[in-house]
Amino acid sequence: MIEVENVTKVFNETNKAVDNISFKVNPGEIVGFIGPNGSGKTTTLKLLTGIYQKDSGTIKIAGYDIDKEPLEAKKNIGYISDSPDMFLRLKGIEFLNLIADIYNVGTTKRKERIKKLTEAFGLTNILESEMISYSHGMRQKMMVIAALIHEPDVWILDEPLIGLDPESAHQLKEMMKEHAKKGHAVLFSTHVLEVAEKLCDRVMIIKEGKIIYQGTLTDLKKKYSKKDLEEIFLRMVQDEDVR
Amino acid sequence: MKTYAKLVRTFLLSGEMPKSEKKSKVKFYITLGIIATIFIFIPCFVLMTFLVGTTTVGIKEEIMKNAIYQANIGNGLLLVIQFICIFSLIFGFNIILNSFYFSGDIEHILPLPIKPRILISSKFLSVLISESIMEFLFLIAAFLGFIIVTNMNITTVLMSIIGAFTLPILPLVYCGIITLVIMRFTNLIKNKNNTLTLLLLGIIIILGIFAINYINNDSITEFVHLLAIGKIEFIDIMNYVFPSTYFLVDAVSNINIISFLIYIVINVIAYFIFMLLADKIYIRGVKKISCNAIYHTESITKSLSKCKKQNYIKTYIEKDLKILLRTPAFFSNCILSNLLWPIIIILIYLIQGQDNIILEFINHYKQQESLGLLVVFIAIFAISAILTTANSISSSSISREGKHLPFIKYIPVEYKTQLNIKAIISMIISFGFNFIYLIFICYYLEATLIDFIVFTIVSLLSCIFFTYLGIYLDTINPKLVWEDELNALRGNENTFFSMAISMIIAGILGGGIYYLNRVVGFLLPILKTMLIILLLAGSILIYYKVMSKGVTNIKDIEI
Repeated sequence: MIEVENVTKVFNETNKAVDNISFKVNPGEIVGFIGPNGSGKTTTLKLLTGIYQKDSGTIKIAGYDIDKEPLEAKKNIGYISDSPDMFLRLKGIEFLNLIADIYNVGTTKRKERIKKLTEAFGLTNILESEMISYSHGMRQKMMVIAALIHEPDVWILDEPLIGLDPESAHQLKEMMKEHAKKGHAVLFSTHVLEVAEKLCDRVMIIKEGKIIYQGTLTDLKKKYSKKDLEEIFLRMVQDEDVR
Repeated sequence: MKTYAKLVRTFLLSGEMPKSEKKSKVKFYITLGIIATIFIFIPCFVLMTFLVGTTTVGIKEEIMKNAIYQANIGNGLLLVIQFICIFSLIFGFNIILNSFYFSGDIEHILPLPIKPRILISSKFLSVLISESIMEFLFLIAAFLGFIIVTNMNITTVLMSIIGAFTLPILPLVYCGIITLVIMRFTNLIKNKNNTLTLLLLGIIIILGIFAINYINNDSITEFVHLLAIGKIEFIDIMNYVFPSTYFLVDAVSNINIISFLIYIVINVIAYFIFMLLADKIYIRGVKKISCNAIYHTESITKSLSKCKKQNYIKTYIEKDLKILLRTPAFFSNCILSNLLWPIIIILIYLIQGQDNIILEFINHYKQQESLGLLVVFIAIFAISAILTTANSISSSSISREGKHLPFIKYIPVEYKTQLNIKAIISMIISFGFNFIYLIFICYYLEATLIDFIVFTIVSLLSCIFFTYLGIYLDTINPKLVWEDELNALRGNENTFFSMAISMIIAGILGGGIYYLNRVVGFLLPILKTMLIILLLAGSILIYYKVMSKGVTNIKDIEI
């Protein structure tokens, strides 16, 4: 579903934010993207969605090359960015209709999905208000709903749980599991190791633009016996030689 | 004091437009800056100096001729600076309101141990510096015009320089005080809605009617005579509103140190009251905003009834239009600004009384005289061009996206389509206003149907050309990092350069047409056809430039 091969991104001709990374997210998988601040997580996700232009390598989403067939690739992505403060002057319902029109969702289907998703996140009765009056958490929920309204095959979520209340976070995690069960792919970044542990089939740990680990957390724990996940993570991001 | 200086510096830096990292883009902007300075700043500066200088000479002659005992030699200067103060007051409101209450930095600064008056005074100074640069230039030009014709000494020069830099204080203090009171004691501005903007529009209209009423004269000579004897009611009233202006002009024109000291004292007292008020009520006003951020509830059935699939281009256009109309900073700068033009033109028209040049050309046109036909044609082209760029819609179309810019990039919509949607938004509003004005102008001029069609074509083509030019400029280096929406437009070099280019092109083409007709002898229909062909060719060229290089520029933007 997501295929990344030898991708590099350099800012200002010197700052290698993403350094020759390769990975795959297969159908039915939930993959967590973990790394310290500034390690290249968001940059990688932005490269996958076409927000940033890569300097080298190839990216394929649902079989479509993001450079050669960008529109087809983008149609298959549901993306949640790291900032939910988008188009705050629009009413909730106007924002959802905009996204639904862009992704060509029919009237009946969009009604069903908006109802289902807003009920799941407890936003049913505020859709007639401008989003500027929403709390941060409500805005984040709107972004989640907007990203999922067209039922995309590939979910790319940048810190999706930040700002969500426990109930909504639980809902989203359940949705992610359900989505993967249907044979779709989920790639999300997170700082919360417990979330990754409970939710992910695999994790990727990124440090200074390089992926330093790809695999299951069970394998990772086996490798560093008698250590908890936090300790392993700290050791990995501090240790230069770990690969 | 250190905190104060650091805050001022921070606020000034956060409002600045980040420079591009590419040397070629930096060079491009420097070139535009030089061109704009030569063709816009210097002519405006000279024009202001000339305006005040000639008015003062006229007043001097009136005083000599009629042996006026109580002479008011500085009244020309006084009238000009009072107008500058009014503009400062009108435009200062939104800036102060956004800076004090809706700027993104507020929530980060408020928890810090900083006294409200320190925060407010540093914000005030940063607004004064960043917003008054043009005002300082105009004031210096006005004082220069006065000094040149009155042969003043070094004291006058010093007082003028100090005056030019301190005059904008009082109007901005008024804005500050009124903003503090409105935000603390009323619920007029909830969620940054358009209430204040509409109030401002009301004030502008009232002031416009007021000014028109008091400035309507029989002739320029009569007007200068009234200035000389001090019988302009507008000035008398404004002397009460802005007492500092009266004392400064008195100090400068009569070398009166006492008046200058009174001028200083007025500013100090006004500023002191403002600070006192800030200390007492600012924090409560800010807290009130967070309490106001309440959404209303409606059943989902009502919301779902509005769900209907439609063409995404239509929805996208509606989205951009709604954001323009609902965001006060965009609404006032991009929409309401289009209404200022008729007021300015009517004021210029009325101030000239019987010696009215505009009226003269109108009469020439009505009588189908060649000069009248020529000037009206050039004027319509120039107004269409400048109106399109002055509202900043096209030249801020990417900047206004701010940190939402990634949206443009990750949705499955071609960049070309999205840029064309931005162009359509600009054209709907710019050409919409242009067309309405055109109907009024043609009705007033009793224009023929053919002329109306030609004017419409010229206006539409100007609008298309300058819209795509503005969009192209904004793709090169958009101002995407801003604390509040007003900041997306303020200090945005793209909006300024776009307007400067339109003025230069309108000047060159307008002058060229005039020269070819009056000197070389080209017939006006030929020149009209030439301009239409030129605008059409230019529009096609700039359209392809936006669709090629503009798209590449968007792809290259990384935020």
